[in-house]
Amino acid sequence: MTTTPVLQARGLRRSYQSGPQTVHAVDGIDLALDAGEFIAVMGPSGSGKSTLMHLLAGLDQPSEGTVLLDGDDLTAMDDEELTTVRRRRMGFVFQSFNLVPDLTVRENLRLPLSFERPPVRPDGAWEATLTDRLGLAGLLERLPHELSGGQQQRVAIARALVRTPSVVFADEPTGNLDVATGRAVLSLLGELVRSLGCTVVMVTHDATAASHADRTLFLRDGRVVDALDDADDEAIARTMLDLVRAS
Amino acid sequence: MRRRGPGSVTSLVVVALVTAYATVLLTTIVMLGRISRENGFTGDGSREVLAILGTGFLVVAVVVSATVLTNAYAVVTASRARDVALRRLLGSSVAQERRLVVRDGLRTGVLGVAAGLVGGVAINAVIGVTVGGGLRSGVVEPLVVVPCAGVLLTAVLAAWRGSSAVLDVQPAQALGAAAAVETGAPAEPPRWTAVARVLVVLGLLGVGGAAAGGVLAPQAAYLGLLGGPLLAFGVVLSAPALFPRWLNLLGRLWPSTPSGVLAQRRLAHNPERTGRTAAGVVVIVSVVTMFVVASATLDRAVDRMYEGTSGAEGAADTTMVLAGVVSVMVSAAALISAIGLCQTIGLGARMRRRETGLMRVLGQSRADVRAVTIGESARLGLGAVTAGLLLGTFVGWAGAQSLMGSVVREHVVAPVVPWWLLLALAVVTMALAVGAALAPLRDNLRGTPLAALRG
Repeated sequence: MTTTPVLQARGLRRSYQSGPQTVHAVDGIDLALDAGEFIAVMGPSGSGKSTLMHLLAGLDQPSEGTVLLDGDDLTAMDDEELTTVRRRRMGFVFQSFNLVPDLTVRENLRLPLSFERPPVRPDGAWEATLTDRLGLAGLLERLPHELSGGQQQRVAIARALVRTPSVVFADEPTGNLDVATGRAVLSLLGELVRSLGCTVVMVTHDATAASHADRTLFLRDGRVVDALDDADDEAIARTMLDLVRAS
Repeated sequence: MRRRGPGSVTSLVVVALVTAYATVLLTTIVMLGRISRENGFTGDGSREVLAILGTGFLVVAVVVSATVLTNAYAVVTASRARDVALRRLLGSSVAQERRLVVRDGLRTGVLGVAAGLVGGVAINAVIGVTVGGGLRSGVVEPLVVVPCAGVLLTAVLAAWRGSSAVLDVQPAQALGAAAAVETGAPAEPPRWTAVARVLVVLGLLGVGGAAAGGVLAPQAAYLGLLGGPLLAFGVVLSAPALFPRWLNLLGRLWPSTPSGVLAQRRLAHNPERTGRTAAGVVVIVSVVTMFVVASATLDRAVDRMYEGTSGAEGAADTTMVLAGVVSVMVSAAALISAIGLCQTIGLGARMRRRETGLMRVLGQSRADVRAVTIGESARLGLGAVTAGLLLGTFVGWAGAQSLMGSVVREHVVAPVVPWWLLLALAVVTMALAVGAALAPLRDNLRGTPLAALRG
C-alpha cells in the first residue's frame, strides 16, 4: 500500500550570516514521514536539529527547499495561514512544559480550541479518553504549579493531541524530567500517537528517549549522517558517541 | 555597575515631582496663611480649611508616590529576574541583592529630592514674581524639610518593599531552558491589613459623620475634611487586598470569552501588583470626582433654594472652573499615578514577550494576542475608574450634604454627577491604560513566534 507522506521536506537548507561567515544550519535535508511514524532527531550541539524542527513546523523559513504537510506547502504560506496550521494540524511539547500558569489543567489542554474564532467546542468523549489515558482525570481543576513535572508534561501532551493533529513536535520533552518519569511520559506519548496515527518529530539529547522512536536520525553540520531503525538506547548512544568523536 | 533601566528614571521623576509639589504647596499654604493673618482675616476658619485641605492633598500625593515607587521597584526587579538569577547563581545572597535595590532607592531618593527642591523653589520664585511681593520671607519654607524627609524615607522604604521580588528569583533561572511563562503560582491577594482597615473605617466615619451632621449644622464639614485624607490613605493601603476582588466582581459582567478569561486571570496572577497599580488611579479619580460632584450638588441645592429668583446663573460654569482648579491641585499626584499606571502596564506587557511567543506557536492569532493584552489593560483601567467614581461620588455628596443639610427643607440633598465627568475620566484612564500596552505589544508581535519565544 502506498501512502502520501504526512510530512515531507525537500532540499531543505537554512543558512544565515554569522559575522563574515555563512553558516549552514541545515544543509540539504530530504525527509518523508508517514502517518503514525515516530522519529527522533539527534546530533551534537549545533548540528542543526532544532533548526530542522523549526523549519518542519513552519516556525522558521528555509533559505531553500520546501516543507509539505499533507501535501500543503508551508513555505508558501503567510503568517496567518501558518498560525491556523499550527493550531489545527500540529501539536507542540516543550522541555519546560510551558503550561499557562493562570489556567487550570482543563483550560490548558483546551487552549488550541480556544484560539479558534469562534471557539471550538471540546469533544467531550475524546477529551475524556485523552485525560483518562494520560492519568489526568482527577487533576482537571488544578493549576499547573500544583502538579509534578511528569504530570505537567502529560498535560502538555494532552494539549498537543487535543485536536488530533497530523504532526506532534517534541523539543527535548524529557529534558526536565527524571529518568523514570521521562520513560513513562514517552511511553504514553508513543502509545497515543500510534493509536491516533499522528506523526512525531522529537529532538533529543537523550538516547533512552530516542529509543522510543521508530527511527532515529543523526545530524551533523546540518546534514543527516546516519539513521537507525527500532534501535535500543545502547546502539543509539554508541552511534552518537562515534558521531561526536568523528567531529 | 548596574545598568539603569527605565524603572530608575521613572522613580527619579516620581520623587522629583512629589518633592517639587510639596515645596510649592507648603510654601503657598504658609504664604496665604500669613497674608490672611496680616490682613486680619482670622475668624472665618478659611486658614484652617486651607491648611487641612493642603495637608490632605500632600498626604495623598506622598501616599500615591509611595505605591507607585514600590510597584516600580517590584516590577523592575522582576523584569531583571535573569540578571538577579545569574548573580545569585554566582554566589550573591538575597540580602545582598535587596541591598543593591535599596541603595538604588536611596540614590534615587537623594537625587530626586534635590532635583524636586530646585524645581519647586524655581516655581515658587515664578509664582512670587507673578503674584508680586507675596513671598517676602524667601522662596522656600523651612517646614519643607518635613515632606522632603518623608519623600526620601518613602523612596527607600518603597525600594525595600519592592525588592522583595528578589525572593521569587531562583538562581537556576540563569541556566538555560527556562520556561516561557512566569511559572510561579498565581498569588493569593494579600491580607487586608489592620492599619488599612482602621484608616478606612475612620475615614468613612469622618465622611459619613459629616453627611449626617450636616443636617444640624454646616460645621460638620470639618469632620469630612479630616475623614477624606484618612480615607484616601486607607484606600491606597487597602487596594492590594480589595482591588483584585473588585476586578473579579466586575469581571463577571463581561462575556466570558476565552481571551477575556485569560485577560482576567493575568490580572489576578499578581494581585498585589495589580492593586498597587490601581491605587493611585482610584484615589486621583475619586478626588477629582469628589470636588466636581460636591460642587455640582451644591449648585443644584442652591439653585433650588433660589428657584424663581435670579442669582443662580453660571452655576454650571462654577463647576467647570472648580474641576479645573482641582485638576491643577491634584496634577502632581495625577501625573505620578499616570506614570505608575503606564509603567506597570508597559513593563508587564514587555515581560510577556516569551509567553506571547508560546501562544503564537500554539496557534494564537495576532489579533487574539492583541485582544488579550488590550483586554487586560482595559479591565484594569475600567476597574480603577469605576472604583474612583463611586468613592468620589460618595465623598463629594457627603461634602455637599454636610454644608447644605441644615439649609435645605428636605435635610437631604441628592447627589449630582455631571456626565461629562464620567466620560472624561473614563476616556483619559482607558487611553493611558491601553496606550501603555500598545508599544510593547507591537514589539512582542514583531518577527516570528520563535524569536519571541526565545525572549
